[in-house]
Amino acid sequence: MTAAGWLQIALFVAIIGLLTRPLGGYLARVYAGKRTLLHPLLGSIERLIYRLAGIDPASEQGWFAYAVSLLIFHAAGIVALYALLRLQSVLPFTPARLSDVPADMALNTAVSFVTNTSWQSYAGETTLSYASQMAGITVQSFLSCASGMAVAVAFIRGFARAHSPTVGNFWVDLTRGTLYVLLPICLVGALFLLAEGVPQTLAPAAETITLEGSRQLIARGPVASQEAIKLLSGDGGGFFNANSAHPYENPTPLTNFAEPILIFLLGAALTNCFGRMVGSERQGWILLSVMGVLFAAGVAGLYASEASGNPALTAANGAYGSDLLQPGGDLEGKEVRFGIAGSALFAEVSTASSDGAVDAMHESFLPLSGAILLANMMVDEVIVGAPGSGIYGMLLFCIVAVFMAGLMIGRTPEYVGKKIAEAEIKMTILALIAVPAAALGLTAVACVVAPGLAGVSNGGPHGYSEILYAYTSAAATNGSAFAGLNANTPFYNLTLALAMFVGRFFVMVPVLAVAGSLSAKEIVPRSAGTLATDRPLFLSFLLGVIVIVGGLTYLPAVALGPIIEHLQLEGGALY
Amino acid sequence: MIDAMMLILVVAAFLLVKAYAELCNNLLVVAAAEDVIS
Repeated sequence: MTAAGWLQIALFVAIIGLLTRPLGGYLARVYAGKRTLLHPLLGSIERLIYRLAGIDPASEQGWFAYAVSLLIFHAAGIVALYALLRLQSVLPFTPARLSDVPADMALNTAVSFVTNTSWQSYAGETTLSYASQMAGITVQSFLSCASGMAVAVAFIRGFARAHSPTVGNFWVDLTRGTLYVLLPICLVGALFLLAEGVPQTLAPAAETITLEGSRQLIARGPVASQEAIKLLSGDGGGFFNANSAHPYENPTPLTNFAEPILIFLLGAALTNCFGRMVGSERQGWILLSVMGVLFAAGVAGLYASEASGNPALTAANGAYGSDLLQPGGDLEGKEVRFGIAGSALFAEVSTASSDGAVDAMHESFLPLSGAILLANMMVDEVIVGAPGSGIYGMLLFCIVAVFMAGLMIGRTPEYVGKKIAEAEIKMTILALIAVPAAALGLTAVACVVAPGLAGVSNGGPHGYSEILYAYTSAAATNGSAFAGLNANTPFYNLTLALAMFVGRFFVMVPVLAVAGSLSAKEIVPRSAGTLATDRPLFLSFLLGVIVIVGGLTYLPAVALGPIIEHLQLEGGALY
Repeated sequence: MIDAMMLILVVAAFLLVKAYAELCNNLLVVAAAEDVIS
């Protein structure tokens, strides 16, 4: 470990902390329909969209109508993206004369991007046309992110409103999130990436002659515009197969530092948006602090583990520390341009945030590092998480925490002025159980059926970890791959699509149900008997709930994979 | 043929989520009624 590495991580945390409040304030104004700096520029476009789509921005929906609108919108999105992928060979902007995407892969990809997961069983540069990348993948990255934020805002309104039969208007929230939040930030982000060397062109792959005299094609395309929303949306699906390890997606150490900032930006800001909407910014800071503690533990563990290197290599070759000639530690699967600290930070941000972009191959991380990456996804992506799903996941844990605190001290559970009753607890548990049920259930199936075992490329606990990681990543809508698993088979394409579908929509529906139930209730004034949820005591209690629930749910599954592999590695066994 | 099957699969999945949403709605209605009674 080096001081420069720690400084890089500390600077990242400081920048996120500084940007959270101003952006949170902006988000709160956007979703409240208040005037912002961008209204003179975009206000007329917003009104035009409403007029063309027949939307009345003044009318609101109850939670059920909100959920049905969301489901109809995403069903249409999956069908449209599926059709685009299946017909890409006859559509324009297909310079490489690519064939249509096979049916099972097209379904997997369509579900993947509509659910904001971006699990990719394909290599972008050799499978998708520019039309599929621009009109399919990129568009769904915007829309899936905007719908995630819309659900989060509807959930927050449930806490903020009293005696209200409605939670907002899905179409209005979707439009505002896309127009005022995602598009402007992505425009700036894409220009920054362009300036750093990320290509943006419709020209076909460049043909060059190498020093050895052979012919080589260098893939390129409209990368910068896709890269910006890939990061900001928590989506993470790369233009190239190597994702952010590719020099055209992540060309410099500066972009490698800036990309994680884009990934965390909206998820962190939504905590402040929550605080403002419920009338107490301290509530938001408590949530961000919980996320910060979990993030700090993860990134410190990852950096320390990877910097210490592989104990089997150390045993064989003697200690290999860092010096001027070599960086030391575990560099397998990492870009030497970014080093261990840059790779550890990126991997932590990527798995904690639900983004899933990678600048290093996660399978090459040491077993304990792999366990940390898994744990980030297994706590339901509440460590900042994707824009929307991170904050509503954290609020679900808050409901569980106040319920447990209420049981322990004999008080009626309430959170930010709303009494939590049996119905909300039932919905919360339904939402929290969907991801582990899909991840663990499908992992178990894949571990015992022939098509599941056929995809595994490593033996022992490492091979099992490949399967566990794939389904955890899909169900948690993260989308990062452990690599090593050959997931481009009908079995994996369909079962992973199922995991992504369950992990997204079977969480969103009960979340909206809780929103509807809470918004109809009165706001109880704070009294001497109120559990203070804006104090460090609640912070530590909430931390404990997240760790214990995650631990009890997943520890046996993790023990069979990375933990056993770590113990065997200490004994010299390698997989 | 395969595309038709995939389309049916997608529609069936969304109908399942809609039914799940209706179930959640019914649970909330029952809970609200129980609150009134108690």
